[in-house]
Amino acid sequence: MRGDDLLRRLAPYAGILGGLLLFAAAGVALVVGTASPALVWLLIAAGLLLLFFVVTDPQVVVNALKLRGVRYGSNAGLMTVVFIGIFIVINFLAVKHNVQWDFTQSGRYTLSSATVKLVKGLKQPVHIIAFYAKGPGGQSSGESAAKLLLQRYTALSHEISVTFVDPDVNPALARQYHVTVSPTIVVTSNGHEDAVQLAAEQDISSAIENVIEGKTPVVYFLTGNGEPSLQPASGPSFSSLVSFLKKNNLQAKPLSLLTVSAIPSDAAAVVEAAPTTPYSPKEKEILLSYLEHGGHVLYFAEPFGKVDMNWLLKPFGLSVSEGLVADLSPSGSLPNQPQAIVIQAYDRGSVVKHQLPPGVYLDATSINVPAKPPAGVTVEPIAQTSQQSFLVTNPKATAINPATDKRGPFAIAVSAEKPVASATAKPAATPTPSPAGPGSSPSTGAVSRLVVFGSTLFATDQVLTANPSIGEGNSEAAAAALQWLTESPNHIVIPTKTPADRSMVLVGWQSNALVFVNTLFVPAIVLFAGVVVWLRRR
Amino acid sequence: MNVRLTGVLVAIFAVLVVVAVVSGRGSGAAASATPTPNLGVFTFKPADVKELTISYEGKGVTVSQPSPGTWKLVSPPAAYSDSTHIAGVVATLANLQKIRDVPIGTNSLSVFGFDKPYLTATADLSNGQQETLIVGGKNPEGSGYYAQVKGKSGLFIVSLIDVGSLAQLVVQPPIATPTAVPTPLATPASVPTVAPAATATP
Repeated sequence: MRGDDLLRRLAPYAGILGGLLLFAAAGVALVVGTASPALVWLLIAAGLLLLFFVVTDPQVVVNALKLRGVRYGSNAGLMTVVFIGIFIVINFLAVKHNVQWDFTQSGRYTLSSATVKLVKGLKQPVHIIAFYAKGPGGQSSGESAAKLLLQRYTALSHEISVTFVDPDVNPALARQYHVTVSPTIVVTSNGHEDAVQLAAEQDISSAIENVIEGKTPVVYFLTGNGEPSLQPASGPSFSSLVSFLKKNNLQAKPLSLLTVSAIPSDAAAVVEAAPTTPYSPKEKEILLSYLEHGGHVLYFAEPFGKVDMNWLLKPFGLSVSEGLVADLSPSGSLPNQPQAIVIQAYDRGSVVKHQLPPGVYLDATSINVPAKPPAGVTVEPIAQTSQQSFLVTNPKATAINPATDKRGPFAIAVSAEKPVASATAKPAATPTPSPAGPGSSPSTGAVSRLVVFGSTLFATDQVLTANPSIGEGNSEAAAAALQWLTESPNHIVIPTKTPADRSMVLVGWQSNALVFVNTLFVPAIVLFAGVVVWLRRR
Repeated sequence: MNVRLTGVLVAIFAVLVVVAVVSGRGSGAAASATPTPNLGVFTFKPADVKELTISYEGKGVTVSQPSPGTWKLVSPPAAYSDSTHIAGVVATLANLQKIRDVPIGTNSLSVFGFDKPYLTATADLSNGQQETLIVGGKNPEGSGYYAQVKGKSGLFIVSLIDVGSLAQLVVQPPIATPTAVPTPLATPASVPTVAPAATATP
């Protein structure tokens, strides 16, 4: 009997100690975060002590449970635990299942009516292969957003199918589609393909439109005025660039303005590079007319060029400087070659939509960008030199003269765009019925586009083949410019979905009222409600 | 005490748990948390390496560690070896990190360039074991090389810089230029002077 008494006397202490050990175990679990041996021993000890307490004096436990307060408390506790549990499970389900509802006023997360019309009207299968390389943790940046976007396309038409491919896991397929950048989204249909690097509605819808039209954009390289050849040659030539463009689904053709009365109607863009003999008035008229009527021109300039081509750039407010850019910054030029400008990072914009490999601009001149472009013209620098660059204006100079030479930074690649004026949006007066430039029947919303590079050498075989890594960077920059230029003027246009400004500016009394409500009124209401409940229960 | 409300909440909780379990089952392995990858390629330390052989573009270089911390070029033989340079390359190999693991799937290894390995590096360890890194082709982005450890099935990508550092040992074997020890010039006690010969007069 005495033994039983002793155990009963010890039981409450065991219960208290067991509770404390359980509390300590919870603390250890929160701090350590894993099932450490200390935690396991604490739980075992707590469990044994609590079991001892219950077994030794079960009546105490039974009586305690019968108390009104305990019953109310346990019900409230259970309700709290279950309520928290419901939130945890809902959160778990939300993480596992991505569902989007677009409540934005501008419909930012909804496909535009133009895309809906395009996709619903598809009469041939379109397959989209999204190449996304994964990182060390198996995650890929932007893949989830791309999946959600492409799901919206597949939901619209059974003609669209989407496959996500990790190019590192399937290099053969990546090489088949010339994928060298992740992400790349390839759109294919009926043997035609187009690739974009941005999972954006504008880019994907345009690519779908391209492949269903099944046309390969034609880029005309002007000849006849001493321009570089499209074939390999001892002098400056563009054969490597032409091959690179072919891989990018662009077809290069030579064109002499002396043999035509207008730029051919299938021209997606026209390239002019460092002419050495002056243009005839007729050639000037053809090229200017093309550009003014929604044409797209890429112009490669050179320092101290033999022919002044600023008449081509003037409508956009641009001009080419008379001089050679040299950069003294260690990262801004090749070692001991200040005239070999290195562009480590391009300015992101309409032309450069994703990071490009560094480019080397050998013998570049600067392009003068107006502080205030002409009305309607949008000018974006693509590549700029460092602040330690100089424009050497003396063609015979052998060194930089910081006292007289203009100091940088200088723009050495620029893009410009302007809408076709309504006055010019009429059929061009071409003497022959065909071919006609794009300006002959410009569509509503047609734009003229111009890209100017301050170097011609940078895109020639002489530089592209000399160093493969430089060649890749330079080719990609030129291709990016032509990709932008060859976007069809009749392309699907997705309106910009600017989020509505929802910011609220509080005037003095509103701010004071907010402080009053938050710090006094709401606590007072809670206090009042508590007092009322207390009085009623009493 | 509102027992009915508690009961309703418990029922909702039970339904949600069932939904979560059922939907989680469908997600399978993809739903499970991604384990933190172990990015180290080897477990040995630079000090454990007795000998290292690197083969690259048909040429090879072998270096050995005759005494702790001292490295010597064995092949091609050289009178003086750049021990610091070799130690750096060995450390690169021992501490080699994967950029990521690549599941091979049904692909053949030749797809990853292992039919003609770009480079192999074999380390003979002091415990008698041998570890060989086989480097295949570049990945499509050109950001790294596919690589494997001989005898293991895992495929992974390693950085261009690490592979370049291993290849550089073959391209430019670590032959040190002996530093000349300056010796004091002997000052002649007397400068012999040559007396002009008597000009013979005719």
